[in-house]
Amino acid sequence: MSTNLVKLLSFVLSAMVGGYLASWVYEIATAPPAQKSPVAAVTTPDKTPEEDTSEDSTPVQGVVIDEGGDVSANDSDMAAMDAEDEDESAWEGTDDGSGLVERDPDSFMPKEQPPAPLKEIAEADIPVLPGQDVVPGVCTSARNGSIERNAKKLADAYDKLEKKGKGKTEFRSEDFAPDAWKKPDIIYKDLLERVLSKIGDGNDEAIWAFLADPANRLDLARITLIRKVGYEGIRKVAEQKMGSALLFELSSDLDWINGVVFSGPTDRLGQGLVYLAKIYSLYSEDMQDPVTRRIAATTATEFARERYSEKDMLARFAYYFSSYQAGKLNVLFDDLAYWETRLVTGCKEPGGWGSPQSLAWQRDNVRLPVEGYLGASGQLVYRLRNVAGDSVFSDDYLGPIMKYTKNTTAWAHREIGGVCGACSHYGAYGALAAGLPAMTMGEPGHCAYAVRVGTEWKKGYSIYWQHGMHKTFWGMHDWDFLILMQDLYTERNKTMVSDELVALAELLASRRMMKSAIDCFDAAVVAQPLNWPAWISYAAYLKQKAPQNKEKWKEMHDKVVETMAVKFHNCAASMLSRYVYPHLLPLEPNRRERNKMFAAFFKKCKDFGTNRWDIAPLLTAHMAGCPNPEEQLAYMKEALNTLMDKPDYSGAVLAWGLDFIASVPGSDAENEKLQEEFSELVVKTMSRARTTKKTIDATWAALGEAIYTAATNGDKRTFQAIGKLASRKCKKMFPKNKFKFRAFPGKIVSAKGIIRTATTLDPGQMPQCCLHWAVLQKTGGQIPAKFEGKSGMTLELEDNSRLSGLVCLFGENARRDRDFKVEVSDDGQNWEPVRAKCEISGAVIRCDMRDAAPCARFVRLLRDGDKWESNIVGFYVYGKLLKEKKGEDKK
Amino acid sequence: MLKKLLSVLLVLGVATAPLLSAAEYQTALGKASDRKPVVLFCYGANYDKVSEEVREKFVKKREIMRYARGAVFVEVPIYQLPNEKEQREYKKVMGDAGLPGGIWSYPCLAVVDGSGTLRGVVQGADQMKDAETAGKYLERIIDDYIEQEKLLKKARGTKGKRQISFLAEAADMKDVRMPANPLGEGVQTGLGSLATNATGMLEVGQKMQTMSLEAAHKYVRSVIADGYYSRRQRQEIMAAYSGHVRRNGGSAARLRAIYTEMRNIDPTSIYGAYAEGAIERWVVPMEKSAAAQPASAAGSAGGKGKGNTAMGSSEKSGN
Repeated sequence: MSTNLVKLLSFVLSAMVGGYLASWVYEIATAPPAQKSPVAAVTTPDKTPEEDTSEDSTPVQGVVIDEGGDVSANDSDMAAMDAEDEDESAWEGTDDGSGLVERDPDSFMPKEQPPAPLKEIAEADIPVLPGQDVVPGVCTSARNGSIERNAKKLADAYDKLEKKGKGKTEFRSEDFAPDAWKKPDIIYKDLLERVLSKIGDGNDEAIWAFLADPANRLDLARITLIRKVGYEGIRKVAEQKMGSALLFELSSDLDWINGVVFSGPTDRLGQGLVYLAKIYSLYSEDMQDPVTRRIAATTATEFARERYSEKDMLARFAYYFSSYQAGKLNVLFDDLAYWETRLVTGCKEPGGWGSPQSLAWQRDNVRLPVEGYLGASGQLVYRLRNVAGDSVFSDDYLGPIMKYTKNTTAWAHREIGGVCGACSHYGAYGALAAGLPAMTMGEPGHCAYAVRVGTEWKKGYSIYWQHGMHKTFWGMHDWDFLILMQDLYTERNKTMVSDELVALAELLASRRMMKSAIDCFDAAVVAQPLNWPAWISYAAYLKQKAPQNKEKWKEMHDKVVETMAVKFHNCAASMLSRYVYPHLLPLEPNRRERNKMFAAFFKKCKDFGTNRWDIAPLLTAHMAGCPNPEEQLAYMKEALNTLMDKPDYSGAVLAWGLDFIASVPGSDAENEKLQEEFSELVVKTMSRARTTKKTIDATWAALGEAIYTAATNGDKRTFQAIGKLASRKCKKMFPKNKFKFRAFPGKIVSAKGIIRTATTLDPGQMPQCCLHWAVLQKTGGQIPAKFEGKSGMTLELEDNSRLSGLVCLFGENARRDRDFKVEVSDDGQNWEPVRAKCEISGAVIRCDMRDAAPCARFVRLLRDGDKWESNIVGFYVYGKLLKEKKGEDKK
Repeated sequence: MLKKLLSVLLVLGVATAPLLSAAEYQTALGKASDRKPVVLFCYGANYDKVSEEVREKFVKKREIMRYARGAVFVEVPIYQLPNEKEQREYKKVMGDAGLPGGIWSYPCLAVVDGSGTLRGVVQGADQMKDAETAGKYLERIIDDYIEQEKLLKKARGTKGKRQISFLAEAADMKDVRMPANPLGEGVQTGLGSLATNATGMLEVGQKMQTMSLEAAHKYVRSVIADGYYSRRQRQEIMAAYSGHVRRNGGSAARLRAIYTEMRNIDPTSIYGAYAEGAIERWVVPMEKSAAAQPASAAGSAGGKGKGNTAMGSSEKSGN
C-alpha cells in the first residue's frame, strides 16, 4: 500500500516540473533625413523615390530596447508575455486615432481608375543589329508548345533549387564588393556584357539556356534592380549607413533579390531600398535569418510603394519582427512567400488599425485559427450610436474610453462597438496581426473584408457582389484580380520564369533588339498567361513599336481569350477593353471579324467566373469599335442574342441595352422606332429561352434587373413588355390576390404605365422588380414603399388622362395618422398638388380626385416625415384616357 | 511516515482538479453541478506557439489545477484547417456540440455550466499571462459561479420582490454571466431589460430626446426606481442621460454629478472608465473655461452657479 502511494506521489510531482526558454529582442529607431537625387539615366526606371522623402526629413529620437539572451527556466513565466510591456512602451503613440472615427460608408468602395498610361521603354543610342528591326510573325503552335515545355522545365528546376536551399538561400555569389555598389554604372556595364554575351541574338534556345543557370538569373536580377532604381537611386542607397553592405548582401543572394525584384510591383523601389537600408543598419545581425529578411524587404518595399513614412515603416517592421521572434504569429506566417508577406507587413492604415499598438492588441486578444477571423467581426457590437447617443461618425463615440484603452483602436471598438467599417477592420486586422493575409474591401455603402484560408480567399461581412479590394498590386480593385493574383503566385516558379522573361524582354528592348524583345514578351505571356503586369508591359511595347500591326494585336487578343478569359472573365475583359481593343478594333474594318472576336470572348463566359462582374464596360468598348450607328445597333442585337442565353449575364446585358437605347441621340420618331425594335428584340430573345425549373430563378432575376432599368429610364414600352413576358415565363412567381376595395369611376389608367419607388433597392430586392409591374395589375404584386417629403411613389400612366381617384394597397394596415397627398404632372418634372381627399382604412388608401378631376400623365403619392410604411401590393389610378383629345380637356 | 505521506496527498488532492484530458464534453457537462462547473481549456493545437507554451505549463505541468476548485476540466484542441485525423480528435472531445458563444481568443479557460452555457472566460494575453494570473481569474469566476448559483437557487425558491432582489444580486456579480433563463425556460425574471433601437441607441435615451433636462432627469430617476437593473444597466441609463444633457447645453456641474454617479456605480467597469474619461473630456474643459470667465458670467456658464447638482435647473431645455 505504502509503496503504491509513494509511486503515485512521485508521478504527481514529476508532472509538475518543467520550464521553457524564451527570448525577446526588440529594437526600434528612426532615420536621418533622406536626400534628394536627380533622375537616373540609361533607362526609364522608377525615378521618384528621391522626390518624396520630404516628410522623412526630420530626424526622430530612436529608442532601443534589448533584453536579448536566453531567459532562465525560473524566469520563464515572465518571458513570453512580459515582453508586451516592452512592445507597448516602444510603440506608445503610434496609434494616431485615425481608425477611431468611422468613415463615410460610401467612401469604402474604391473609385474605378482609368487605365494607367503604358510606359515606353527607353532605348540606348546604339545601332540596330541586323535582323532585329522587324516585328516577328505570329507564334506558331509549335513555338507556343515549346515555350510551355521549356517554361515548365525551368519552373521545376527552380522548385528543386528552392527546396534544396530551404531555410538558407537558393544560390549565392559575391561578385561585387560592397564598395563597388557606390559605382553602379560600372557594375551595370559589367553585368550587361555578361548577360548579352550569353544570350547572343536572344533566340529561344539561348534564352532557356541562360535562365537554366542560377548565376545568370542572379545577374539578371541585379541588372533589373539597377534598371528599376537607376544609378542615382543605387548610389543614394550605397551612401547610407550600411547601404553598401545591404546592396552587397542583397545582390549576392538569389532568393533575397528575387523577393525584392520579382515578387510583386516595384513602384518606388528606390525608396524601398532606402527603407531597407535603414532596417539593415539597425538589425544587420538578424538579417541572416531568411524570415527576417523577408519581413524587412516586404515592409520596406510596401511602405515605399504606399508612400508611408519611415517612422511608420520601422514601427511596422519592429512589430512583425518582434512578434515573429517571440513566436506570437500564426505558424502559417513562417512559410509565406515574399508576395503574400507584402499583403501582411504592408497592410494599410499604419496610424490606426494597422498601428503596431492596435496590431499587438489584436495579436494578443484575438488569437484564432485562420478561418476563425472570418467571423471575428462579430466580436464587435454593431452600433451606429453608442449608449450615450453619440454617432460613430464623431470622435465622441470612443473619445471617453481612449485613455482606458490606451489609445488602441481595436480595443476601443471592442469595448464600445462600431459599424461596418470597424467590424470589418477588426476582422481583417485580427488576421493581419497574426501574420495572415487579409484585407478590407469596399462594397456599395458598406465595408467588408476578405481573409485567405489555405489558398482560397473568403469573404467576411460581405453583403453585396461588388467588392473593391483595399490592397492591390496593380491598382485593379475587383475580386477577380485578387483571385488572379493568388493563382498567379501560387504557381510561384512558373511566374518567376515569366517575370524573368519580361525582364529580359525589357533589357533587349532597351538594346534596340526589337525582334528578340517581342519574342521574349511572347514567351513571358505564354509561360504564365495570368501574369497581368507581363501583358501590360507587352502591350506597352507593341504600342511603342508596332501600333499598326494587326496580326500581333490580334494574336494578343486571342491569347488573352484562350488563357486568362477561361477563369478570369473580368480580368480578361479589362485587359481587352483597356489595352487591346483601343489598338486592335480600329485596325479591323470587317464587322463580321469583329463580332467573331467578341463572340470568342463571350463563349468563355459560361457564368460569372470567380465573382459577379459588370460586363457593361466591355460591351461599351465593343460598341466603341463600331464605326457607325447602324453597326452599333447591329452589334447590340448580336450581343443580346449571344448573352441572353447565359443566365448570369442576361439581366446585365438587357440593362446595358436599355441604357444604350436611352442614350442614342435622334428625333422622337427615330427613337420611338428604335425603342420599339429593341423592345421587340428583348421579348423575342427572352421568349426564345426556355424556362425550366433550373433556370427560372435566373430568368426572374434577369427580367427583374431589366425591368428596373426600364423603369429608371422611363421606358414604358419595355417596362410593360418585360412585365408581360415575366408573367408568362415565371407565372409561379406572381401572387394571385383578389383585393376588395371601393373603386372610382372610370377605367384603370395605370395598368399599362410605370411605377417607381423612391427607395434605393438593395441587391436582394433587384430580382423581385417584375413584381413592381404586377402592383399595377389586378392580381397585385409588391414594391417597397418610401415616403419622405417630395420622394414617394411615382406613376407614369398609360397616357394623358382625366383622373377620378387613386387606390393604394399596403401589405399591412396603415397608421391612420398619415397625411397622404397627391401631385400630378404632364412631364414628370413639374408637379402640381391636387385637391384630393385621402382616406385610410386598414391597408387601403383611397384618394378621391373627382372634385378636382385633373388631367395628367404622371401621378405621385407623397407623405411628409420619414416614417416606415409596409410594401405596397396594389396601386391603381382611375380615370379616362384622353389620347384623342390631348390638350383640349386639360384644366 | 505513512501519515505524513497521506497528508501531503490529501493536500494535493484537494488543491487539484480532476484532469479529464480526453474527456468527452458531454460527459463533463453531465458531471457539472451548481458547485462544480466545467472548465474548458481551449487551445490552438496546430498553429499557435503561444497555445503550446501555455498548454505545457498550465495543463501538462498542471499549474492551473490548483485554481480550478475541483471543476471538471476538459482540454479542447482547436485546429486550424483540420485534416481528417484532427477533425476526429476534435470530435472525440466535443462530439457534435459547438463551443459556447463568447470565446474570442485561444488559449482560454472557459467556464460553462451543465447546460453548456458560458458563464465566464479567462482569455487574452493579460489574463492568460501565466498560470498564477490566469488561475486567480479562474478562481474568481468559479467562486462567483458558485455564489451566483446559490442566489439563483434562492430566487427560484421564492417569489415577488424577494425573488427579484436575489436575481438582481446574482446579475450584479461581476465575473460571471447570468444563464439565459435563470428561472427556467420562458419564465420572466422581472429584471429590467434595456432595448435598443436600430441604431444601437438605448430606447431610454431615444425617449429623452424630446424632453427638457428637468423632464429627462425625472424620467431617468423613475426608470431606475421602477425597474430592477444591474449595475451595468444603470450605468448605461446614466450614459444615455449624460449624452442628452451634454448635447443640450447642460452645465459642467450637472454633467460632473451624472458622470460621478455613473462611475461610482462600478468604477472598475468599462462604463466606470467611460465616466472617468467623460469628466476629463468634457467636464474639466468646461470648468476651466468657466473659471477663466468673469465671476458674473460663471453662473450662466453653469460652472459653479445654480445648477450645481445632477438635479440643477439652470440649463436650457432640451429640444
